[in-house]
Amino acid sequence: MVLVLALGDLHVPHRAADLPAKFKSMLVPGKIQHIICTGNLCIKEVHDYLKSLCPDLHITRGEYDEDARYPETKTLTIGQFKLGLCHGHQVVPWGDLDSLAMLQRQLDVDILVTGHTHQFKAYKHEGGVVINPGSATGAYSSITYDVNPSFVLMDIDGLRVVVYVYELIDGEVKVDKIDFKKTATMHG
Amino acid sequence: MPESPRRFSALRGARWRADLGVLPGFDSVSTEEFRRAAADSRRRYANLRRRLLIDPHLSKEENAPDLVVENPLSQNPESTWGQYFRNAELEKMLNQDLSRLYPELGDFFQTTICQSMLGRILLVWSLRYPEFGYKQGMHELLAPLLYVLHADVHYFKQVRELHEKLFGDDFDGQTFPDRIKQNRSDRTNTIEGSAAKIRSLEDLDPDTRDLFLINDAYGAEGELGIILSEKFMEHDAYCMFENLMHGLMNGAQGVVAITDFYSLSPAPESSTGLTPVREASSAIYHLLACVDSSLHSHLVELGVEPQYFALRWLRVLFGREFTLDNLLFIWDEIFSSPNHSYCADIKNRPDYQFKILCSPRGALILSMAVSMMLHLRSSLLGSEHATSCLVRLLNFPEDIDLKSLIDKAKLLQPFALEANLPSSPLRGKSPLTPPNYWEEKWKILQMSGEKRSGGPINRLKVRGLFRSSSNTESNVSRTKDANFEDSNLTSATQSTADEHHSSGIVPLINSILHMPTGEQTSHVDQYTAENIRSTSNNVWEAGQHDGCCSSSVDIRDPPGVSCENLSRDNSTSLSCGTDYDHETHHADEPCASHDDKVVSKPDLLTVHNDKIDEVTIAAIQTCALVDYQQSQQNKLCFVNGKSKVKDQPNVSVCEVGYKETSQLGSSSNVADKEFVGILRSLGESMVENIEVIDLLFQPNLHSTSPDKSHEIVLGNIEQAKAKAALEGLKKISDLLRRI
Repeated sequence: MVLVLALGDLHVPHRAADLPAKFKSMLVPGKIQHIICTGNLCIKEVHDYLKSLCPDLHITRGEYDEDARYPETKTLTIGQFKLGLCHGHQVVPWGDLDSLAMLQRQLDVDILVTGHTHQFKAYKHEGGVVINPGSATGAYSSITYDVNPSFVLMDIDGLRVVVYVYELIDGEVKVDKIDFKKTATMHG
Repeated sequence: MPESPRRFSALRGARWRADLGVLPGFDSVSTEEFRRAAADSRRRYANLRRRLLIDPHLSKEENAPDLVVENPLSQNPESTWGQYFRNAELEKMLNQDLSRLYPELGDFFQTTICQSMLGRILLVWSLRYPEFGYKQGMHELLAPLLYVLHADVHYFKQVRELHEKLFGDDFDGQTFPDRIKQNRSDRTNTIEGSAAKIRSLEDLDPDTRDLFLINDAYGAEGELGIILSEKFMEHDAYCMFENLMHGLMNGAQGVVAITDFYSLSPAPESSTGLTPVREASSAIYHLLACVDSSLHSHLVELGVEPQYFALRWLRVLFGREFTLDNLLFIWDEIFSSPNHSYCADIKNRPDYQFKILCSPRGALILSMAVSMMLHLRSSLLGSEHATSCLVRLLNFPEDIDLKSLIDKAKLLQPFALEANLPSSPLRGKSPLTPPNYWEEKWKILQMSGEKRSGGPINRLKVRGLFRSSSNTESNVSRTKDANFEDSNLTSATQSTADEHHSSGIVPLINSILHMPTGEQTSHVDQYTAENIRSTSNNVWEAGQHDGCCSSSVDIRDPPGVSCENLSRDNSTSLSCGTDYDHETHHADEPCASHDDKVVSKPDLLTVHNDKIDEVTIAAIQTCALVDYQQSQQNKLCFVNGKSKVKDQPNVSVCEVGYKETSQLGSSSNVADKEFVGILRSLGESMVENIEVIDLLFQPNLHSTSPDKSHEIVLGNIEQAKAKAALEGLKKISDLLRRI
């Protein structure tokens, strides 16, 4: 069983001061095995904070990231799942499922995680999943104003992945869950 | 069902399971009951495991939980995920310890199957008993349990293979699998089945038949009731572990619970306010003080607290001190000792001193610890620092005579039980007020001693320094035996000695003449190596002197004793039993013991026993006398040196650096035939010494000893008596010279 934290678009310090306190208290070291971050952190301090939660940290570059060394896309394999990571500002139209599905095929991944729209989205598509964890700080974006802070935790266990969605609505953390089972034959 | 007290003598695991109360005791238990008990215990574990080992994925399926609580980041400790993470943390710690378990037996303990089994058992246990929790060391208690179960299963497999062939021959070419098949059909048809079963198995010896019956998959409870089952090893090991940890015996609470040793808070019924393991440690010292007070006081003086080493000994039940093979034998004994309390009401403090000593098992554990300390006695007494003592105690030698170690412990066991009684005569909290019974005993002994020695017993205050530096084990046996088997004598003497000591009564001088040389040699010997220190054990030793004096019959006694001493010194191995016999006998039949010894210990020195011993005795007596007066220490050492020379040519008297020593040292190398000459010179030097004593005696005890604290003020009467004793000594030395 592996827990993977997916989050992005923090925009610290430009659009938000920090992660919400409620999120911070939930995110403790020792539970999470991997962190994937879609980008726009934007400063090194956030990177260091994420590193303190879990040393296995994967980041792609958002358009506001200070650190230009982050890659545009990244793929990694966790258990039986192949995960793809991309910030998403490169994929137009932004947040469009078909465009994202194209990227998913391109990267040849089961789960594609993107950001940029600051809106939580999860689609089951073509035997895979496309997830947008939203903005962990609730920062505004160029297309949205009132954003609820949200992030995603994936529980990958064998051929099954359970996606927990954490969203801060009116000061309360709401949790939702999406089950996804992969058929064993998908990748041969 | 054939019953024998030790059914399954070859099956250690099954025996332990019965001893630990997982299975019913062997007596009057039918195979069916036996199997039922096994099945029940396994069911219990299976249920526990199902309940406690949490898989968050499975539990969520059952009922739609509140996701705010039931999610991986939940901060609620009661949530499945909270428990899951707690377990995971615990498991991590367990695996850290388990991965280092018995690396030398890695092909069993380091296999993944064994590791995960041990890990699960410990995890279930620590989840079942969160108030105790897993502590480092517990895995070492569990591992041997699993190991013996595995050995049992292995053994059973071998027996089955053996009989597979045997069956094939015996039953008209029928092979073993066929028989099983037949048995299956038979057993399902109950009565017919059992008849057929007995017919087919009766050719086997009862043990093997038993083995088959308890392991028949079609007996009571089916496969779950198979006593030796590889499949249920984990279950069985858990049940044994649980019973061991909690001291459970068939559901009843026993006295010795290992969890106590890990507990950090004092037991509710404890009056000392110490944690149970510290209480048990002090019980070890209590027992040691009764058995070997000189070793006890030595360790106390050096500040070696018992818990420094007993903590480890007790927590893993000696698992760290012995190899696994040896450990199994020790545990055999420990487990076979019942764990119930002999005190009817364990909360009733006056009934006992130490809770752990209330059960035979606890007594054996502590006796084992004392036995181990006695094994190290000489090296411990030779250590001058607490650290070096601890190094020895915590690096127990591997090449030990396990049997004698266990035998000693078993000998000590009843003694330990007795020592726990508040009426115990043995060193307690108030040694100055010993119980009346022993006082009387002592008086009787004293009276008979007086009668036999045919004169009033003079008294001399004995303040010796009786810590032995000799490496002979005879000391161990002497003290131990005298204390243990003849405890009435020693304790009586002890109490009296205490009296003397405290009230300032001056003990015997004359009696010194009758002192067994065994005693004295060691004392003087100790003396040469040690600084003078007045310790509590001196009192005890002094008491022993008195006791022995009064029980020695006459002057003819010492040769026998000294001979015994000689041979003991020269013997490297010790059998406490025989040694002790001689010790006790000599009080009554000195000659007999003398003879015994000469025969049993062939040594070239013993050839000269008769002559040598007289000298030895005389010399030693002089020595002892002066020793007691504390004014002539050095001189006397040399006298002693002379006598010792004969016993142990390499005795380290030379330390003191007197000229006489060197002479003696050279004389020690002389061949046996020159002994007569040595005797003569000895006699001469003795006279010299006596004169010195005499001289010093005249101006009323002007002590030349730098150690003023040990001056003894003798009254006029005592002085006169001392003089008389000196006269006696002179006569003896004259006699010697004339030889």
